[in-house]
Amino acid sequence: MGSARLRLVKSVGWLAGFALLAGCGSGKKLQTYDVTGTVMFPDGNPVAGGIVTFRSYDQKVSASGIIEEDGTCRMGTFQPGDGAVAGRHGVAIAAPAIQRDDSDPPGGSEVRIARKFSSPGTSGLEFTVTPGQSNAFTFQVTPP
Amino acid sequence: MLVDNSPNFCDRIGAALRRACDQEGAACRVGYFKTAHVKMISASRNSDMKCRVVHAAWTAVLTLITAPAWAVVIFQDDFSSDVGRVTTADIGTYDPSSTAMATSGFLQTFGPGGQDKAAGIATQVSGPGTQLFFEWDWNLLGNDNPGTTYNPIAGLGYNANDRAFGLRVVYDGQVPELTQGALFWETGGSFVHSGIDVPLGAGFQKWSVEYTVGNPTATLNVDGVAAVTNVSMPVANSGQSVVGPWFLGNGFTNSRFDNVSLCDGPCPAPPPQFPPEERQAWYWDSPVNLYFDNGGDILTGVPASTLVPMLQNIPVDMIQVGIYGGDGLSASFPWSGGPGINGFEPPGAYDTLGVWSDVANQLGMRLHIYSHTFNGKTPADLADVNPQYQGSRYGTGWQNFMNDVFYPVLNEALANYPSIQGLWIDGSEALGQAESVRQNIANIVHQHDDTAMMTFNHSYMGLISGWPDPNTPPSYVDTLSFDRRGATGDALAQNRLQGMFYSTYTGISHDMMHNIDNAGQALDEFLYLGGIALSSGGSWFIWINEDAASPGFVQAVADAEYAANWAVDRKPALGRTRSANRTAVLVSETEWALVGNLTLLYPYADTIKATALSLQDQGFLVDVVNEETLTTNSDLYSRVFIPDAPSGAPRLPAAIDQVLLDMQQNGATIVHQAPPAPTGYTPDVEELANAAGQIYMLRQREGDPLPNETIFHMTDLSGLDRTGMQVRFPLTFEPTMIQAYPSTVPISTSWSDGLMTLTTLADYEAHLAVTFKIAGDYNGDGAVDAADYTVWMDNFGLPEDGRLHGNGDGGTVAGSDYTLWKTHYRSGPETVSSDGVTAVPEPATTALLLVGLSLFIACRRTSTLIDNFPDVCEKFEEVLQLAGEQNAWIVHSHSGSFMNESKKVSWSKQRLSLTSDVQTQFPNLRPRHRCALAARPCAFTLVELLVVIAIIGILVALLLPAVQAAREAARRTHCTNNLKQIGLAVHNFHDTYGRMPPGRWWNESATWFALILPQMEEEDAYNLWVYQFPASYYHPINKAAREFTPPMYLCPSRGRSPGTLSNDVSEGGESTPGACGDYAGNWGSNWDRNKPNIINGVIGNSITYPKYTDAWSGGIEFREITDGLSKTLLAGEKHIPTGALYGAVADVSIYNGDFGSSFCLAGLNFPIARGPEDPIGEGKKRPTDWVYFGSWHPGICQFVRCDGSVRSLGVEIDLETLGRLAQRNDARFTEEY
Repeated sequence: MGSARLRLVKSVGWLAGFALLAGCGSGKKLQTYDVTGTVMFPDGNPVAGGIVTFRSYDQKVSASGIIEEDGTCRMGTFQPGDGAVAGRHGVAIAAPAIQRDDSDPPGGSEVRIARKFSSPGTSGLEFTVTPGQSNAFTFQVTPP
Repeated sequence: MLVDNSPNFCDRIGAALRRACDQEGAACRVGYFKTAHVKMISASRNSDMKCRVVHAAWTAVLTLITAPAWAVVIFQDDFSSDVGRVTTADIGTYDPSSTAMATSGFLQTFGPGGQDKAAGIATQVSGPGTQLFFEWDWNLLGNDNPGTTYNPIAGLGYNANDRAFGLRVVYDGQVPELTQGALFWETGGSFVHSGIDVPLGAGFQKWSVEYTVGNPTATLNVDGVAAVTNVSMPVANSGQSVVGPWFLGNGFTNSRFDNVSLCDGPCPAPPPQFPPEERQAWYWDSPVNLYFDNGGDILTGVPASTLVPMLQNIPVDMIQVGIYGGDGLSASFPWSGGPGINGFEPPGAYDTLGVWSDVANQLGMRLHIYSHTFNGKTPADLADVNPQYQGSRYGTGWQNFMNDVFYPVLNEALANYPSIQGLWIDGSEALGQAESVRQNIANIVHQHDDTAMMTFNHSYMGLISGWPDPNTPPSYVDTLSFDRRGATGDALAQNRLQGMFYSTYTGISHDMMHNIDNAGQALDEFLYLGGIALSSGGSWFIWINEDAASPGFVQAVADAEYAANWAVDRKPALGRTRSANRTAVLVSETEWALVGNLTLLYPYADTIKATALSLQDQGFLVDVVNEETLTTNSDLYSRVFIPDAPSGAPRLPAAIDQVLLDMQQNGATIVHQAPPAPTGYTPDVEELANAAGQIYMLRQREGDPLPNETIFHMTDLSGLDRTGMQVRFPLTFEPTMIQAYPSTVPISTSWSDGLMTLTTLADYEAHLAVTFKIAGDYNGDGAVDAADYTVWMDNFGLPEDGRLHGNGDGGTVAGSDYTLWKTHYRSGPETVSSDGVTAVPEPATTALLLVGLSLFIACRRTSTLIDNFPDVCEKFEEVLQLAGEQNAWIVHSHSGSFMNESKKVSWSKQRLSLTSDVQTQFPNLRPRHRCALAARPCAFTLVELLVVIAIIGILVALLLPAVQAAREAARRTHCTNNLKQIGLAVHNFHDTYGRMPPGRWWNESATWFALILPQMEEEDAYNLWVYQFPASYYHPINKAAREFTPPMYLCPSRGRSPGTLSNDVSEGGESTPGACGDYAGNWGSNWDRNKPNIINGVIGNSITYPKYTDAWSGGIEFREITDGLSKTLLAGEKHIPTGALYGAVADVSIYNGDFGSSFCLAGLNFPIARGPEDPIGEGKKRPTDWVYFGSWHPGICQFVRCDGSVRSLGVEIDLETLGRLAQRNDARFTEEY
């Protein structure tokens, strides 16, 4: 039975080795943190429909989120809604007019908020994502 | 071509005859009649020709002769259709009073009084088409009546016009060496025989027959052998006979000469044979035309403006018009109203040539003209060609006529009517003898137009036999044609045929054209002939001796149209390629009157020939009898032996099947013949264990014998009494025989349900031979192959009695055995059926052997394994004895080279069960021995097993994700390639048009993905698109176009297959599904709807300017991409959220220019979708719909850039950077991405 026991020990060793090997291998992405918020007009009405984009000042990444009907928004970087990386972000918000015609693509001149918000350089909006905190934003935007 | 694939045919029939002879109960003699006509007689000395002759339908007449009194055996009625299946039922006894003799028959006579009997028989013969042949053994006659001159046909009386009969001469049962002729008496033809006298004792060295053809007397040479001895034979009915190699009779306008020539003086050698393949190739390559042949007079007063509308729908490329004399007589000069030839305009004639020239011009057809001038004319007649010329200066001879009239008129006609591109001249004896005239005519035609076709028709005019080189037509002749069956026969025989014009005898009659059902077959035949008919192939003979406006003419035109269309439709299907050259003919009444009773005969000849050749090409052996001997369709049918395709053989082409079917329906007997012996058998060793793991079927290996016996060697264990011992082993198939060797070993066997039980009744050492029944294996070699067919053939009609090695179905060797053979011919395995029918091992796996040895141990001498351990082996035997293992014999199973396999198996099985015993009895065996004896347990322990399972589990766990990842990687690579192709296509587009494609033709038309289809090697799909307004994407005309998906437009990660359509809906609400696509052009980083056609990307929603053209003016030029091609995106993957696949907005067709679905924006406000689930662009009528790039590849999105490189961008890419990549002219530094 000694040999059998030895065999058992060896087997367990192999098992452990493979298990260790199995644990390796995946790369490391930037850590993201949940970011949610609201976009509204000064009168408190939500900006229904639109897109919020974060441009990280520190990393070469951006996050974006769709503004829902109620003005809420959840940012995502690698996956939809997975948040944004830590640090300061320039913010751009675009809310094209609701399409009137299928053949009219969005963008362009018909917008519902001032054009300056569509670029982080002119929007004057910033947001800092802080690890370990609840990162919620509220942006007020003005109509064009 | 004349391949006899049935070497035993004669013998088989002979055997049948012998049996019939036996039934006669008298001394019986069997003779074969081996000849049909001279050609065959001459060949009958060659053994290899014998059977072929016998194959011939009505010559497959076999005689049974009883001696001493002569008897006649006549195969009545159906021996033609029964050829190959001669049974006693086919043999009748001649009854002089029977009217059965009225049908074709054969009788043989010899001995005293035979000739008288023959005479008596002959008097019974009557009726059209009757053929009666005598075989007359001179030697027997001579022996019986030495010194007597016999006239075997003296006193014969027959109705000369109704039939023919022949005399075959043999000498002592053999055809004398140089007696290569048959004598055929014939009357009613143009030959009148003056009599033949064959003196006995002349030895029949050679035949020469004097005969009279009008005047002078000529000499008949047989097979090209000039006469040596003039012999003559008085014929009672003088003046009613002719000697020839064939018969003449009603319905045959020409004698059938085969290698027989009529010569003044010594005859030249017969022409060499043209290789059949070449001839066939020529036929197949020949163009096919359809002719109009109209009499000029019938169109009197009908202008071209009337004819053109009538004819314009007929799909012909050429019209041939025969212009007849306006005087109603045939053979005026080519046209009755010669253009500008004073003095040659018959009264009331119309310039039909001018009319037809106009017609041809307007219809864009070639015009061939048809000269009837020389028809039937002798040189002496030529002065009378046209009564008008009687007494003129031309009337003194045709030479003057030609020089003064024909050539000038022909020249002038050709000059005035350039649309004339061919001249067809019917021949005559006169023209046939006038080589220079023929050449002059042809030269005039060719000088006028190199491409014009010069055709001489009618072989009997001597054009054929007159050539110095029989294989090469004169260079100045483009086509020789023949429209007489007999003449055709001549030409075929001499292989000088260059083209055939099947006119009067090919039988597409006016009536048939009115009955499409009937016409179908005739037309089909005709098209087969099309290969032959250089200038016809579809010759439609429509008699329109009426005014154009008459119902008859209208119908004729309709017929021609039908026929031409039919031909056009059918010809390609029949494999002919030159159907473009079509013409049509309307033939005059005079021609039509010549249609005889030979209609449809020749068409089938060639149908069958083509069939046979095709079969030969496929490796079948085909027997095709010289078709010139054919007299009736049924004859012809019965002569073709078509092998049945055995299982696994390539199927016959459907067209050939149809021909066979057709032939069968017309009374043909399709005789199945064995295919060639199988070759390329792929032997291998294949063990097929059944569920119990006890049956091992070994397939034969190359070089192995072909046993259908498995030999089990049963040796004893010393001291064991095997009396009463039972051995069971599985056998899938019931053996037909189990034989113990030595045979004195008493055994009893039984088999049921796949288990063989063998009981020994005494203590003997024996080998067992187990024989399996193999149905169809008639030679017992273990394989059902062609050789078995031969055995079957040779024994046909005999009791089986072991002749078929017990593998038939019992009783007499009959057709059912053939079926059995055919069924099992190389077919797949069978198993025992529940209805008790004996299942047989399948011949294709004939070498399949069963070795069931579940109870046995292979050991001892033949085992190399055991030989290494003799001591162990002996010990082992002791163990068995001690264990009292009554059932444990040591059995060697060996049968050929697979012995080792079977032994190995049985050994390993046994060692498990004996382990404990061995261990118990021989604890001191060394491990090596133990192992050899399987004493050591050769199994896994539980721990080992667990470890293995664990390791496997870990490996699987490790591998699975990796495999999935690898699959995704492959899909991504595929996708990369798609983008690469799109990039290359755009580059090619730019190379072609100087700019990139605009987004779409116009705003509701197809997108750039349609524009670049030619560059994607989808030119055909591109050509489907109609883009001119109002043919929008939604327009029904573009249905096929918009539903075509090149696979390159689909990303495999989305898993959509081409053909899965979108759910586009037009503004009008119509469902207009189109091809989906997963890519989109780079529209830019932003877009100003006030400047819709100004984009900062490369392919946006721009349209062509001017609108609706293919000027592509809306496209971007490379020089406008100032950021650099490598720094500007061209196209990328289009984001389609999983929930919006096939959505009416988010996933519209890639071709739909009405939506912006084929281009996307990318930039600060237009991020790349962050995965398939990103709700951006979900199609909920939000402003964020359908303009985003995005991929289903995890974490990235792939783009092709304007330089053609494909790179991926992370979805998290900085949007500023993304925008710069999208914008072609931002002039901003973009760090490498």
